[in-house]
Amino acid sequence: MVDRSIMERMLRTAEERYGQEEAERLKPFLERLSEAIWKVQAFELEPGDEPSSDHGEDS
Amino acid sequence: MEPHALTLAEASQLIREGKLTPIRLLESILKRIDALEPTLEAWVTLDCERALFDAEALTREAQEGAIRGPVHGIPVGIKDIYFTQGLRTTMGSPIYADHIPEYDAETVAILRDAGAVIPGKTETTEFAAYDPAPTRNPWNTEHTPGGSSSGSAAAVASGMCPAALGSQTGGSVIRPAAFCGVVGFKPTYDLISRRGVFPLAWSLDHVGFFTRTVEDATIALNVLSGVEHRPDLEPPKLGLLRGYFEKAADESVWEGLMDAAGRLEEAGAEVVELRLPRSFEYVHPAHSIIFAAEAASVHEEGFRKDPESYRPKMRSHVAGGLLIPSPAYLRAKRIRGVFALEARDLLGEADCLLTPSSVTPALQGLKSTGDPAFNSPWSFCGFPSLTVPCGLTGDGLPLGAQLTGLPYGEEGLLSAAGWCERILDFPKGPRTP
Repeated sequence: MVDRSIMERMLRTAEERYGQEEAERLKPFLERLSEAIWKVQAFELEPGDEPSSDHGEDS
Repeated sequence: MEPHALTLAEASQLIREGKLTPIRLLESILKRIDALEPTLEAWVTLDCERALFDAEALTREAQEGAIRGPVHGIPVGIKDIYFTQGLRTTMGSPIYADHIPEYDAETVAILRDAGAVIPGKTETTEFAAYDPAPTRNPWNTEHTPGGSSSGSAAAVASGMCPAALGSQTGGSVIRPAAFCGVVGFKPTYDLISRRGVFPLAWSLDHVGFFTRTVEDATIALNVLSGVEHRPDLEPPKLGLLRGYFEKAADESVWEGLMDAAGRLEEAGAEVVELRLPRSFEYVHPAHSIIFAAEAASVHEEGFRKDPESYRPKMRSHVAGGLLIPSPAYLRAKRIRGVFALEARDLLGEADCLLTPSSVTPALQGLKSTGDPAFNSPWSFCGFPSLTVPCGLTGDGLPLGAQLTGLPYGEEGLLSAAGWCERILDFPKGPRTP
């Protein structure tokens, strides 16, 4: 179940920043992006899951 | 055989033996470009004058016995996001249509010092993202060559150069290489300098390259990295990843991979099935967040000044990327760390991982360069990956087998790839559309 509030917040900000027309054009992309954000929020990280390197060379 | 049809290694050998001159090789390449460029549109800018000047000088050096190394006199195409001193570098964007850099990208400088000849700059999607280039696939000109490194893939596949630089942030080397039936190699993140390469998303951007053989890829890697890799061809232990890859792949792609895996196993490779780690499910969303956020950061200023100058897909990535909350970006980066550690564990069970190189074969039309979903996990974690051609679809389009190794495990990866290439025995000659 996707959290629609992320999409609604992003769309509101897009309307404020870029105007109604551009926000409308962006909608499909924002749908995908908000779903990605919702999904990564669901990943359970542990305190140890904070590697010092971007690419997991250290942990 | 016409010199344009030689592989890098073959041309290099003949130049060393004095049986081929760099100028003769370049003339053959330029003739090939003249013949095919109107159909394939692989080049943004040609630099024939300087290329001929350099090839003449390198011919004199060779005649005096001063061979600089394995790429002495070898023509190499350069993707148009690599800065080239005095030579227009457009990033595939009208914003940079007249941009002439004052310096060479470090990789370009290394290649020139090593004696490579640069015939010109190859087509890229806008800023190496998703808005397509005009390039066509040499195997079927009604199909995309893939992207973003569209021109480099098509140029190498068609014999307009034996090697070309590309770059990969999602799947921009492996996918076009697979679509065009050539070898594509994306070494470990940061193994090769990105200085002077216009960034798309800096923590995902990789230098990569195209050749027609694994032997040529080894030569290119050795020159660009400054490290001598000496792969020996031994039957590898291949970790086949099913799950997500089997579900998402087009039927012809999965069948092609299974056929290749069967042939490799019959020839002596060990093929073991491995399970994707728990974090894999989060890799694609996390990759897309990092991609959009970093692209937005790179283009924030230019976008605010003139959003209309960006093509639709890039514009969406920048506009949307600017709206990503910072905790989401940082969370995506933490997931990358977890995935990298889990992928390392996975690679403890095999010499390299085996998957298809693309979700589909080259798509019809030029509106989309295809789906990078099978490549972006390895751009995400920075592990080296390589594609070798493994067969053709019923429609005669190439398919690739993607091999992925441990970070800085290029020698092992090239060993496995070279062995697989020998068994799979895909034609290495240039493709005439």
